[in-house]
Amino acid sequence: MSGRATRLVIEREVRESARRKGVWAMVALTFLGASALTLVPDLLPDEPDSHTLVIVGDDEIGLRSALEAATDPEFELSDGEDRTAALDAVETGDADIAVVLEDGPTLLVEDENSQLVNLVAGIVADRVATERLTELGIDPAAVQTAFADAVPEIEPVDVEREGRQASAFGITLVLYILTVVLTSQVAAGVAVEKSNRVSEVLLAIVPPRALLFGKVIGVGCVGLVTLLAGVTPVVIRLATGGDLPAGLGRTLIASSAWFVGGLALYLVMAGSLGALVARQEEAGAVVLPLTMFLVVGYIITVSAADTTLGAVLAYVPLVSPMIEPYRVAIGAGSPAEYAVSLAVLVASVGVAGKVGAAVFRRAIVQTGRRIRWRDLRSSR
Amino acid sequence: MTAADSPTLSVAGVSQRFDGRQVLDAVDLDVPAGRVIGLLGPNGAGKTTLMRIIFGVLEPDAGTVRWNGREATADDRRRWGYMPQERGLYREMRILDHLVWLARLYGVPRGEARERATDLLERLGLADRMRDPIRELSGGMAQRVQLAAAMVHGPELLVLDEPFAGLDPGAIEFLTSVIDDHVAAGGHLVFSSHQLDLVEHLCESIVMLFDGRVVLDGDVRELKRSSAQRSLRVDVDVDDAWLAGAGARVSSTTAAGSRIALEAGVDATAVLDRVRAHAEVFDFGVEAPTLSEMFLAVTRPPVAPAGDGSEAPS
Repeated sequence: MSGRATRLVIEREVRESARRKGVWAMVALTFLGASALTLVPDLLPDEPDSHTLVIVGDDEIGLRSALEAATDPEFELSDGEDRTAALDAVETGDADIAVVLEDGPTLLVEDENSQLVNLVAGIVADRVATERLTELGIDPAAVQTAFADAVPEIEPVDVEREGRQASAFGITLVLYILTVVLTSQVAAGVAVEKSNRVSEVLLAIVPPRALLFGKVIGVGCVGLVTLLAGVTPVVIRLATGGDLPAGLGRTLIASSAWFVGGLALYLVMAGSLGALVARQEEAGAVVLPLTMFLVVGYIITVSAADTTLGAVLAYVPLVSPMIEPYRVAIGAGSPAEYAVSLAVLVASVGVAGKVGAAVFRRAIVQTGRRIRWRDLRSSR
Repeated sequence: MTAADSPTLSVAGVSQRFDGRQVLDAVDLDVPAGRVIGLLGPNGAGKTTLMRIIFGVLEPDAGTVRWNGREATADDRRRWGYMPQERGLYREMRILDHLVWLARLYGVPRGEARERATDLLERLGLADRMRDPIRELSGGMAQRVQLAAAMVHGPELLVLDEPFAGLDPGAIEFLTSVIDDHVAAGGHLVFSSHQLDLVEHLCESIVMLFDGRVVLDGDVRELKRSSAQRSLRVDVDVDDAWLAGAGARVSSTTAAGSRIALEAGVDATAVLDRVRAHAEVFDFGVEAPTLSEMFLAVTRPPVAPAGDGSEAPS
């Protein structure tokens, strides 16, 4: 009967949640947020392959041929009558850049810091320098070779680290918000059922354990649906062959294991704490310690996940659901650490389930005032 | 099943303490089939606690709850229906969904649960509201839904905690008819109330609690018949001074007149004559004590007789 009762409690939670606009709003926001992160870059217009340049004046430095030789990007060149006409072309958007070769080269541009401007400025400077070096009797090719040889070789150690950190940050933020929202939801739900005596009717039919776990699993399912809404755009992007931010897939897989464990831990605790209060308004206060753990855990995660403190907290069950996905993403831990951390978390869920059910069973029937821990020890 | 071979709910020696306070002290209660049992007493007497213990919501410090001669089990309790004092319903749920869900929790298959819930709502006059959320109902309607929630699985035993609290006369009459129907069909029923006079006509047997103890119990007619308390009812306002030395005192005065408590052995006609000496009486009667009067008689400390032979109100 207990299993059937739990299923029915879950069914009610899920069905009634599906009727709430707030739940759908959360799902929609998560979906849109994830879509923005993964899909929107594809929807933005690509950088054009070629740019339009206007050249004014006599090309004595061979700029035209240098620009025509460029392939990434390519340039469409045209001659301008004079500086005024070139300026007008840039202002109206007919040309991206105008190069005026009178009295020393001048670039007319809209954004002086753009990559394109730097590129064209480099080509112009190269042509001017080549001309000056030739005038001085120096072989420009030899100079170029000397400069090329002098540039140190750069070996990137972890090119994807930044991307993985960004992925971990985004996912941790979503998990943090989701856990905070669902924890409050479970505590408030239990407090409402206790204050309006629904629990009294239900306890006459179903065991307290079924009532608690049914609510936790039901609300957890809503959380997973929300998570699914966040994962869907990623899957769509993968299915359509799009690129993902570095480390996102690995972080997601790691996150789901710790997310499920962490959510179970937090929700069971929130459910039993919610049974301690007499009125719904007190539910927020009673889960404050849990919320504090979440806040502190999140702050440490985003600021010190790869430090010694982060390595130690990776084994603390109330913090590991946030910190460990982050450490997985940036490769800060070892497989042994991940395995032990997850095992400790799963064991904690088991202990919390046992203790939480006992607290819930004793507290849910004591109405009229907030229950102290002393009251629970003295009651049977 | 007839009332004779139907099981009986039997509560024996139930005691419960909360925070060092004795909430129930060796309470006994029997609920046979076919009788309306009233669990009566003032607020804080322990009625709700006893009902929670009956349903296994609370585990008593001592005592047993038996059904059909053996300790009541969770399966037995799923064949009972409980209506708590406060509205134990999810306010956001639709009425029909709520009832069907509860029936399924009781073990009724989904299809049958829907049929029963629909039928019950039609009988309770809520057929046109079954798709509305409970929060949109008035207090009386919500009370009907709560009653339906307790009855949707066809329980053998109905336990109603303060079912009449806050109801208007029409709703009280309706609820009374539902109780009568359940009992007439051979069901078991016990309800609690602190409004003793309101439910007096409904109870066949009572268990009266005061400070967690049973202070009066038994068949209501027998209790009244065996009581030495008698009252004279007159349709005028009586002054206690008129009754000096007559062995009687005014117990209450309402818009309908006064009610005069007679001491044992006092001749009611002599007291009536005292009243008639001061006012014209058109309607009068000698009556057995009300449940309130019996309750006060067993819970108030004895009053020392005054020098003139009358009792001072305590």
